[in-house]
Amino acid sequence: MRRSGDDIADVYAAHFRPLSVQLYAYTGDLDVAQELVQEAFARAIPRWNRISTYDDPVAWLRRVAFNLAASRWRRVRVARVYARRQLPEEVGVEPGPEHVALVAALAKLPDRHRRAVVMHHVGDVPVAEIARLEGAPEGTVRVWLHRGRAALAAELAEAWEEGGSHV
Amino acid sequence: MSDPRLDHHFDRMRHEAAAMVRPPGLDGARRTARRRRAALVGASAMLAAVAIGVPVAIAGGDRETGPAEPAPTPPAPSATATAPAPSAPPTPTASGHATSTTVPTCTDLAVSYVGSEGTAGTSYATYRLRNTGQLTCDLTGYPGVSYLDGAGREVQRDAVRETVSPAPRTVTLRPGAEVRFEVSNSTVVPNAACPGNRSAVTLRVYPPDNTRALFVPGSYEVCSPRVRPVHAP
Repeated sequence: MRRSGDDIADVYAAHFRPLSVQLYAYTGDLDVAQELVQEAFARAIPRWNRISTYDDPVAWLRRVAFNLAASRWRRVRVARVYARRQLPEEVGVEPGPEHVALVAALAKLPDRHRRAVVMHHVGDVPVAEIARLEGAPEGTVRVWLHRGRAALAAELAEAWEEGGSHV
Repeated sequence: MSDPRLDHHFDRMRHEAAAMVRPPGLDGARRTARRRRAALVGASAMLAAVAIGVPVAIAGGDRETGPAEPAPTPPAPSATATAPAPSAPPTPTASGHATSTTVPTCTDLAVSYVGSEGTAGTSYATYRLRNTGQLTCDLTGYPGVSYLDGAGREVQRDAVRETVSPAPRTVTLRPGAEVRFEVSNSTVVPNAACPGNRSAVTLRVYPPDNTRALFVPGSYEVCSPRVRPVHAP
């Protein structure tokens, strides 16, 4: 039984971008993020018959991409070179100050806190699913989220006090 | 709870980063997948290099293979052969067995955990069965999967065989090669389908057509477990 969203091309069109944003928030490098998501799709292709039967195939892609990021996967350069070649000369979008400050603050969080915060606040992944992915109790994930948010707020407080005009 | 100023940062970052992403295209990923597949076919011995986990038999595990305790009998559905009686020689699955009958069923196997993926309401765990013997052998169909608590009692019920189409295929394993299989559990709490204790500390696996159980220690929450047939990785 196939649903309309089962086609890998549809999933790619709908989810490459949001997944890349999540991986970017986690790694702090947009090129690396896109490389990781591209690699997750490359690994999904030979297994797609099976993955597409899952309730949420995107969860598989997310898990693989985050695992690759966590394991400091850097081997497949080809996809990255390819990604660069596709970039137009002029991207036309500049990250704003709130964006830059947040990515810098995220980079200072402990790995698991960062992963939980990014999945939850950037990827809208429910706490229960993060708990399963991390193999941790939900209460623990909530603690990571709470501490992660508190650390981010503390880190960004300086920017808020200096500028005062971001919101 | 949530600081609106922090939420604002997240919103800006999401929008700006999304605008900066340039998907390289699925075709590139397809080429990568094809290239790897070609490389694998050319040197399938590479599979033999994959040997990560080693199963740990729980203390007193002998009891599990003794005649006192029969192999788990999966619930009724037709056309699903149950595990043979204890001490019977392993027999290859008869139907749909496409490969030569001179290839024996694998009995020297090691099980280990590969990883989990969660989706709404269900978790999927993947395990590998690695051929630790010296000979090439076959595996076909479903492992028998159940969970045990610290006292060795079964938790909830045996994993039900999930019907797949097409029917399970025979996988031929060289020494060191592996197959994988998935076990799903409901993660809905509470769930009327699985009252009582759900916590288990051991996964028990009877590989297809095997009478000797293998064990994977861990921390499991069991609810309506389902198992899929073994397949090539």
